[in-house]
Amino acid sequence: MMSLTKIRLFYVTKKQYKYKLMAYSGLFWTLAAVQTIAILLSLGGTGGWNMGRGTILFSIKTLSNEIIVLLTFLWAFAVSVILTTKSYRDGDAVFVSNRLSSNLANGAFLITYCLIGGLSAVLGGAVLRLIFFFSTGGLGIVSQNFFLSPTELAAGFAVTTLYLLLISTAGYLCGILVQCSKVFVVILPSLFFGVLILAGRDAGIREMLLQAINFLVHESSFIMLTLKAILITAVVFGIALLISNRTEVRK
Amino acid sequence: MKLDTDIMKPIYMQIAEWLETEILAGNIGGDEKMYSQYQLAEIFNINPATAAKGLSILVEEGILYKKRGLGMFVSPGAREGIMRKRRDGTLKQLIFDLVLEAQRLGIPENELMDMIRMIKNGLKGEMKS
Amino acid sequence: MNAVECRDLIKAYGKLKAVNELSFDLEENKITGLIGRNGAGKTTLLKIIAGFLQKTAGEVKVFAENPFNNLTVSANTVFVDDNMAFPQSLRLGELLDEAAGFYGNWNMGLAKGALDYFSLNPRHYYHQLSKGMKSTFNVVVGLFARCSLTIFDEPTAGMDAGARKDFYRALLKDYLRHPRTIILSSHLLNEIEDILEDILLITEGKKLLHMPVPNLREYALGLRGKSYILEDMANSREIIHISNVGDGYAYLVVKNDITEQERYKARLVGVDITAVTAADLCVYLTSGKKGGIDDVFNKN
Repeated sequence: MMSLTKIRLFYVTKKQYKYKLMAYSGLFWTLAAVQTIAILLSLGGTGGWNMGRGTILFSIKTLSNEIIVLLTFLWAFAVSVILTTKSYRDGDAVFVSNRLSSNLANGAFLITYCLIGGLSAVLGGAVLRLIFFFSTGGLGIVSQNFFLSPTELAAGFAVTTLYLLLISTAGYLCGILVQCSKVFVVILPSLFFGVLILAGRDAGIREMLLQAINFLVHESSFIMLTLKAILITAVVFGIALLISNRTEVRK
Repeated sequence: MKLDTDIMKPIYMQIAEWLETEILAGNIGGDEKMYSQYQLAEIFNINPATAAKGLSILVEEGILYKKRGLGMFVSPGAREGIMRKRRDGTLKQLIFDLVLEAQRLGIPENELMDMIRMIKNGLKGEMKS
Repeated sequence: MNAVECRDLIKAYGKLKAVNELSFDLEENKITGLIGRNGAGKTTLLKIIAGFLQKTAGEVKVFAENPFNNLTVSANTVFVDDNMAFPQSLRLGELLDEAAGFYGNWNMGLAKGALDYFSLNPRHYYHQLSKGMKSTFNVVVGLFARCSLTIFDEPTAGMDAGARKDFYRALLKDYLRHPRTIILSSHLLNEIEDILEDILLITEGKKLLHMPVPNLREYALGLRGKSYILEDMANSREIIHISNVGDGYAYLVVKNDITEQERYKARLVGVDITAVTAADLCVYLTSGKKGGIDDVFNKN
């Protein structure tokens, strides 16, 4: 009887995860690039208005890390989709893997880059404030909470990360669906924009859409948000896992 | 030794003959250990199964014998056996080829004998020096 | 014990059957050559065995298990072709380190030594290499992973003759040191036949024959002589190949069941009898047209 190497799923998943961290480290450079661009775009202020009375005119600019967070969301969605493409899946199959270990390793990788994305987005906001502070000499700033306290930073980090998880998992599922059948390249965007367009026209659909969004966005309890996010992420990822379990590789 | 892969003779036969020549030349004596199939595989750059086939031919002919767990060994009377076999078999075949070729070229018998004698003397001279 | 077993294996793409009711067994620890024309189904078969593709019907067992999506089979199998998806961002040395972590039997000393021997710089990136150097790196990984099932699917693309020779030698030597089941698919049968034990010849998804190399080499004889003499001899025989080579001469390939007497007679009437190399035989057996390309010239 041949002596076969016995291997355990956990060990392989761990190895694959570490391999991905090394192999796809370039993705984090793109994150840095994206967020730098976001910061530059935000320098002019992310909102504002002008007011004037008689001979007095003043303009107000508001500053937040909205653009940074938004671009990070887009980045995370794109990365999740990329992970499901042929060359990345084939990359998994070069050494030792099966679909389950690949997906689990992708999941661990996903959590990692969501954490990193969340952290850097929040810190990016802080960087933005610093730049502003030093460039205007601190005189033109009117705000009570310009300097973020550690708790606020932590909260921002946590919330951003949770939203990133949701978006990334959705991206992963979309990617998996597209890999299953090219038809989804048409169906998914059509669905997305279709719902938006319909919501614009039909009040009933708009209501449903707003309710769905508020379910996540206007959740005031942090614990509830965490639970909801984790649950939805797990379910969506589970579906992606089940769907992709019978796909072929290295065709 | 380079293996001739174009010739009619299978590689395992060539291996067997090479081993016989080794025994004839006295490089491996009676009751001494013969090369294993793995050693032959590495020496000739062939698959060990092919080498094993060559070895098994020699076992069948009684030139080698197997010692359980230790490998193949040269039989005591191997050298004499090989000489006998070659005289009756291989040599006769060579002579047949020679005669046939001479016939094709239209060389008469005495001329053929002269040629043989010339080469034999030439070889003797070489071996002396 | 058999490393690989296939029973009536079918892989269909729509109506086209790439693998068409293929049945064979591969005993463990042998080097088997998988031979066949382009499009015969070799790569498809190998990818099913490696567990990458799903079968359509029939049975396939690797180490007595279904190989598809199977972690144990994956851990004990390495598949080398000319399309290894190594990441852009890792250097060759780092790739070796990663491989070592995945494969239990990995031999780093030999792998590094081989890299050095083939002048591959461990600090270079995989995508910087030429086609031949990529293939060389691929086979180094495949060899020193020392997996119980090692599959090479036309691994020598772009490698020069010297590098190929070194690869075959390294393959043989490491196999002798660390026996394993090896499947080597190649078009260059004449280069590899010496190190093969068995040959599995397939055509259009079906098995033509599966036998040890020495048997294959003695399977047929080639007769060259005047066409009318050969026509006589060809009667009541299974013709594997026949072609007119011009000037009333022909080349005939038949099964090697010619008696000593017939051989003697043939030589006397000037028919040249030669062996048919395994490589040539495989070409003749898998060609659709028994006459070969000479026919094109003879007819036009």
